[in-house]
Amino acid sequence: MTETPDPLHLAEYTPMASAALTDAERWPGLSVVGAARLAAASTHPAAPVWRHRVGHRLTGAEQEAARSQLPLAGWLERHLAVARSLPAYRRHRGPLETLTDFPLVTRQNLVDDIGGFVPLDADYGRMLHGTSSGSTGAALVMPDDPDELARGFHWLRDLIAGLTGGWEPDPARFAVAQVVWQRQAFTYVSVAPGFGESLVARVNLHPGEWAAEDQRAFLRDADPQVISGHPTSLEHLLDLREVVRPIAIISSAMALSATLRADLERTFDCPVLDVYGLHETRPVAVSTDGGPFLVADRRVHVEVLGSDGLSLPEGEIGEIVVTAGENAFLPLVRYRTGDTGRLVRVDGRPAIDALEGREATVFTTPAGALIPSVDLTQHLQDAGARGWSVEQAADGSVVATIAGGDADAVAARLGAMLARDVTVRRVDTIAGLGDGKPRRYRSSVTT
Amino acid sequence: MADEELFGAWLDQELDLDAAWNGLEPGPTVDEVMARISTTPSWFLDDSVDVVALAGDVLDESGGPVVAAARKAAATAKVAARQGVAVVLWLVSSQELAGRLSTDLRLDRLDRALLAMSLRLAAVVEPQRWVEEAERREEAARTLLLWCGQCPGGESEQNARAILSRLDSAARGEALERARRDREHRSEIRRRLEQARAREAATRYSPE
Repeated sequence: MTETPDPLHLAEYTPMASAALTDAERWPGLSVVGAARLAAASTHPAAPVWRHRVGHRLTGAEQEAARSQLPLAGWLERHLAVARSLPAYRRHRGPLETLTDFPLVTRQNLVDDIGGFVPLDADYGRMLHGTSSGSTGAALVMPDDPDELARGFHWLRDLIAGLTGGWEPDPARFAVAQVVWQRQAFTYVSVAPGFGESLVARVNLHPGEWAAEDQRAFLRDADPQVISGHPTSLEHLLDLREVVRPIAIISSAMALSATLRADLERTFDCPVLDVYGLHETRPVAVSTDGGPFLVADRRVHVEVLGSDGLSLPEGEIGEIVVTAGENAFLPLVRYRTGDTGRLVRVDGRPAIDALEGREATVFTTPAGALIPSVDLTQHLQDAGARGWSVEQAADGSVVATIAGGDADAVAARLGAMLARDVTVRRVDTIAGLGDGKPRRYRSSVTT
Repeated sequence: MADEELFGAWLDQELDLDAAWNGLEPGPTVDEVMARISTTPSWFLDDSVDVVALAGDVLDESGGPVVAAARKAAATAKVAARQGVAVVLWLVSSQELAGRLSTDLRLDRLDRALLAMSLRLAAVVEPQRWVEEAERREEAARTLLLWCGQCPGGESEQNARAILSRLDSAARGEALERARRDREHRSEIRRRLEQARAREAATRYSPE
């Protein structure tokens, strides 16, 4: 009997189609015990189909080095000196003395000329292929830095250790399970760098990819200490409450609603970290309590700019622009994130408040008053929605689709705020909103 | 300051400078060509001139490769490239309008000469300066003759090589070298990122 080919199957997800290295290159110096542990997980009877095989690529010495973050004293000056030598700035007219002399860099600039943003003395052999599909525009191929990826793991380790009283390797447990919920996804099992050879895995909770009973059997055995994902996949983690017992949960890539954060915290009785960052910039800031996002103690600098491109004072909402110096292959200066927020101080440290993905959308009332999307966010969250899409048509009419939550309350509150009837449709899950970020606003009304 | 984008467009043509010195035939003198360059009508350098159409007008039906070369130069959307094409076309058309040179310019290599002038030389010396400055005019005349496959009248090839090399100032050479290095770097980055070793990527611990 021949199987009908799946018209939506993507060749790159064919198991091991992208494998190019030996295990010794993926995990240099992996011990016999570590290799046996990896093999056992790889062949676990309830394991998902592993579609990929990737390692941290680091020697023992490199893993050890990655346990400490890079020193911060004077980094920005040195970073700007590196940036001045980039081919991308060769044709820049005018000074490049201080940070604000540098022109803003857009995602499209990187798409058009990624090589121009890589230092000439880069160690080409260590660069890794990274891709970011983004929510708009063309896919971006950029160099990843294996040292930075490992340091990023240890940055999370330190944060979680601070919140939980300690996070040490446990040979009986996976260090991290990254969960996704997609029709097709790369899945793999690997080894954490410089963390007792604990295992990490990326698994796809989509039932079409991995049977529910197998998910439960595998994750029960893996018993991951930390689970990471984005809101769409973490929502499905709630169904696995009897199976996993994480010491912390990391949400990233998309905005986490207060409702889903509270559900996760209550269900798993553990801290939930919401990490803000872009593939291009690496992690920028983190919120551990649903409040403002504290800018990471790493080589990252955040500005908030007005529509005129000038820096705004603390407290004013504008576009978040990030200078990022962790990825040795992509030293970015003044990268436009397309996200908005305002800079505030939390215990004297810079933080981002009122963070909204992509451009801030403005809605209007019949009388012409402007209502920023951030105001709607508060009410949508308060009404228990885990995700939503709110659209205002050119004629002013507003339609909201919410994932979970109280549709009547949303209709009443948004209706009151916008002084017009709001049609609300409720779906059960964030996935029911369709592809894209789970907090979306669109307004066709011109202001 | 070199126009690296323009020079990059030249490098994309993959034309070999050393090979250009092969098979030279006798040409007009440098002085003759310089004199002709200095009389380039100002309207030839005007922004409104469509150099692709001009190439079609100046050359007969055999001028297809030259028109194609003019189109490549025009595609850079650079004023310097367009003006470089215009000066070369003036040199060709002037043989009808202002009298023949002692030896005709070779038309069989004119397409390459057009690219060398409009992309390579125009990237480092704006064509307006070919017209206005004697030393730059000499460089333009010698560059044109070289890429037309002609040795300057009354000179040995050795002599012609030495003089053209001297005119290529160190500073400009440096700028071009940097442009070349940047270009190679960009293409190397693209190549490396697509290699299987890089594409295998590395373990990640949270989504972005």
